[in-house]
Amino acid sequence: MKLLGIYVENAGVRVDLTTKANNDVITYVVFVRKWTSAGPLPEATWLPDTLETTGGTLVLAAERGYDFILQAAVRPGGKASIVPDFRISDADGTRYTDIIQLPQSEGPVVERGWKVVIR
Amino acid sequence: MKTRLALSIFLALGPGVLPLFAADSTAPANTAVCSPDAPADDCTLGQIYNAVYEKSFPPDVVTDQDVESAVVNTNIATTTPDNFANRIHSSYQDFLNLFSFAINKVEESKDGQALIVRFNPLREGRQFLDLSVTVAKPAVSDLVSDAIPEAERAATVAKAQTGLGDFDDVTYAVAYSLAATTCSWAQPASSRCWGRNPAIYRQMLASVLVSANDLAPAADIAPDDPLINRLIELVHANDLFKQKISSINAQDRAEVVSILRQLAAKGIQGTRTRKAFFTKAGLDKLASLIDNQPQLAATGSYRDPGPFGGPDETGVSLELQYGLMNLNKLRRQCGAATDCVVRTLTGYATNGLPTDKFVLTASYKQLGEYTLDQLVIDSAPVPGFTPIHTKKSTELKARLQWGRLLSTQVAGRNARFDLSADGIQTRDDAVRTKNRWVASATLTLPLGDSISIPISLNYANRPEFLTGQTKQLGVHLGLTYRLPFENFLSPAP
Repeated sequence: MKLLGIYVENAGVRVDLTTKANNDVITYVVFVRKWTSAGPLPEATWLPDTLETTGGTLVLAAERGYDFILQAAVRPGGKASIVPDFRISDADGTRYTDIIQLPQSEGPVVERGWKVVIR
Repeated sequence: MKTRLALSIFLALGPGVLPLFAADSTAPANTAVCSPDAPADDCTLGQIYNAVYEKSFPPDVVTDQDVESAVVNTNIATTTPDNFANRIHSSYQDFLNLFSFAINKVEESKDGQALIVRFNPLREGRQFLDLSVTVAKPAVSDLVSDAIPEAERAATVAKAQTGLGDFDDVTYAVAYSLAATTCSWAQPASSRCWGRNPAIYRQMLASVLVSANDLAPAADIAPDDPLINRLIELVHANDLFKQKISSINAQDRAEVVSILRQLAAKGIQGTRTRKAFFTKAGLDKLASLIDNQPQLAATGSYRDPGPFGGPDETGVSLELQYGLMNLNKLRRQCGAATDCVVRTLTGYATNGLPTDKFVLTASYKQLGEYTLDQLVIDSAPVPGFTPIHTKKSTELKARLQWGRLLSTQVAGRNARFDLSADGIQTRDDAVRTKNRWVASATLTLPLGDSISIPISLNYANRPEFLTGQTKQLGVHLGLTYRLPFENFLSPAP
């Protein structure tokens, strides 16, 4: 998985994610995983209907950290891309809105991730 | 001038795949400038990480061939576009604005000779209705110009042309389509999802991705991995990848770059493992299953080409396409059990996806009766004009195609088998004048990327309908060679 960002945040901040995919994206999912003292656990799974309408939202707890993993099935021979709006409600208003290219070289399923470390 | 009524019926089912927005062609992430070997000062840590990662998994970029094709196409000599559409558009802009609540788009054709007004599509459940009106620059048809004495023809046609009104050649169009708005595994097996827009299937296919992911090998970097902990110590910020390398203490830069290399290397390794898994799981077949979904497109048109434009034309056509193995069939096989879907996809990855495709096309065209006893220009009949009277005629065409890739390989590529049947029936003034039936079976043997040998068995109800044959049944053996530079010769899409 290719990382799109590594963030250092405090517990209690909220993460919001909305997305829009082009037609070379067959389908996609965002898995939210939290890292507890016992290891990684699934926290949430956001599907396209949610991500493209209300968006996914999560308030981060005092865990070791969180992974937001975008997994997309792409059309062979296409030029798939997703436009994200990944926002962290910290003092800086941290956002990631760069278009995410999903290249053929990684297909058929391309993974991208944002990693949040809780301090 | 007679009242003009033009009506087109355009039925379309199953919208094609239209991108929501063009894929961005971001430059290859400063791979050279932000190389970890000597990153420029204004490179961010994210760009340095990308430069390492993208060496193994490069982004999609515009190829040289794409660029050269574009250059070739832009070098084609062009003439100044006709300003007919622009003039109509400008003249009636205020009028069109009154209907802005109902008009979706007003566009001018590329050659400037037609203005197309598209109205807002109407949607009721799975039903779509699209309306459009096309105003084309009216012209004198060959039928009329041929009836003018040759010596006077050019000048008379030019005069007749100037007497035509802006709205003499108008086509009204109606578009109807039937396409699923959503599709789900839980739908009754007997129901069909129509159309090939990926957005319809994205939500249901996401559950396949979730199920497949449960089986995928993990590729984890813990948030308190020593590499990440050290990076946090060296980079004093909350958004690590956004920081420029120049903002890092000079003595720490080499270590930061080294950590980025190691993180990217771990990412590359994880991607390799998971790519192999997802390929083996057959997830690349999802696109083919969408492309095999049933799609029905029907079109119809009525055009009145103006007083000197020849007979009115009415046309209706219908096209049905589907592939044997598609998402509807997968839904019937597996229902809501996505583990069954994952197993089936894995089977396709091992044994191949059935490639049978069917296309049924039917069209009907009618040319109305057309009478022009005299050609009157400037209130005076044109001397020597031959009166025109053409009868109503109709043409009915049908075509059925079936094709599949065979498991037999020739020169490393699958052979292909196609069957097609064509039927044309024409009637002139309600009297059938011609029936034409042609059927062919073609086996295509590939010989590399550019060469193939098609072997066809052809049948026609009359030998003259087949090229180069004197009997109703015959065999053709051919050789097809695709020129390596044919892309350059093709017009831009």
